[in-house]
Amino acid sequence: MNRNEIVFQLNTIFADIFNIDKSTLTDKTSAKDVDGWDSVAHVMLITSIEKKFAIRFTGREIAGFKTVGDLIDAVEKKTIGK
Amino acid sequence: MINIDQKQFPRSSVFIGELESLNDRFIVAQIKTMLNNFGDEYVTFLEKVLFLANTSKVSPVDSILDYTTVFLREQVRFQQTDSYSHESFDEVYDEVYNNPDVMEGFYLDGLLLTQACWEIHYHIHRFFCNHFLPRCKGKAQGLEIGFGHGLYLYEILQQCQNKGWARCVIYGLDISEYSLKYATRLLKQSFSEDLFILKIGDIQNELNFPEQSMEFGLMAEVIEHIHSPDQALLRMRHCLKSDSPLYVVTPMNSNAVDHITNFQSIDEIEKLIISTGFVLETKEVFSVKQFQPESKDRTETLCAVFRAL
Repeated sequence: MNRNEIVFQLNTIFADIFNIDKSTLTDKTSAKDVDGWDSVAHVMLITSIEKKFAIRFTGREIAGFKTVGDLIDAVEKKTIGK
Repeated sequence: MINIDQKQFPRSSVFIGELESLNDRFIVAQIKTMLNNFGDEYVTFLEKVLFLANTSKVSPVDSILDYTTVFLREQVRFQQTDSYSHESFDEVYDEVYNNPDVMEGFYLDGLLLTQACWEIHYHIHRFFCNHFLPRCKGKAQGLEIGFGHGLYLYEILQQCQNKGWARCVIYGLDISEYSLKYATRLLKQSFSEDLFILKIGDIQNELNFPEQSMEFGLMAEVIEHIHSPDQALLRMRHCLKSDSPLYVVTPMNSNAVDHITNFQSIDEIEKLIISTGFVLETKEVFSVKQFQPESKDRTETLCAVFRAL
């Protein structure tokens, strides 16, 4: 799966969970830019991503995601060869 | 950036620094609020919890992050299904209490660390120190069901030591051999082994202590883990002398990986306990929303001292 496909899928998940317009998301978008992106929503986002890409993140990885770009990078790394 | 005295609080300084380097919101936001509200009282407690944690297998940062994310994963599931992930005690026993990868991996350390890292748990601990500890008098004999990591027992023994009480014997019963091992290690760091007697046992089957033999009791985060809370409370009541205090903490809408019984309201929990031979002395109800108004986490926790009739 290439980066553009990952970005497309992630944007769809973000839009569903936070009810926002996909076009407002950039690599630098962080929790403080999105209404409702609290710790429960953060984990809801992560579990949706894990399900979509059939991957699993550790607690340390989950806590370390600060921006949309961090998430894209992590998914890209975990899906290499898939 | 959080600034605390590195010489006075070395463990806290390293712990907070590592958490901050990962993310300044996740958990760190709660630590900042507790530091602002309680200052040295808070960081002294955090330092103590970090001293008591067993860091031999997993770092405290990984323990708290793993425990928190596992809990939040279950809470997300609860939001979607409105039911707890587990219904069977035996299933939870196999997956959690009797599973060394979980218990010795992140569970016991992580749960201990939540006392200082989750606002709701810190407030519950303060309630315990302010309302229940003063009721545990010198030369008294008490019993905790489900001692888990052993922090409450530690606090009671520390009070006995600080006040110079010669003997305040405490008994503890827990379902897990890993809790027994963990709490024994934790208590032995500071206290003589003849001051506490910890055993493995299941309050759902029996409680082998003589009638009216105990002068205080604790059932903190217990009745949501079992199928027949009323039977467990009756067994505890049987062991307590009349007028003895019972400390109870029970959450609702809190889908921890080992919770199997949910309650419809805090009132339901209170009535259940009262129906087994207790009167309510003092209580506080804590909710996640109270500390994080925007949170979708619906956890509410009854924290109370009852008195045996």
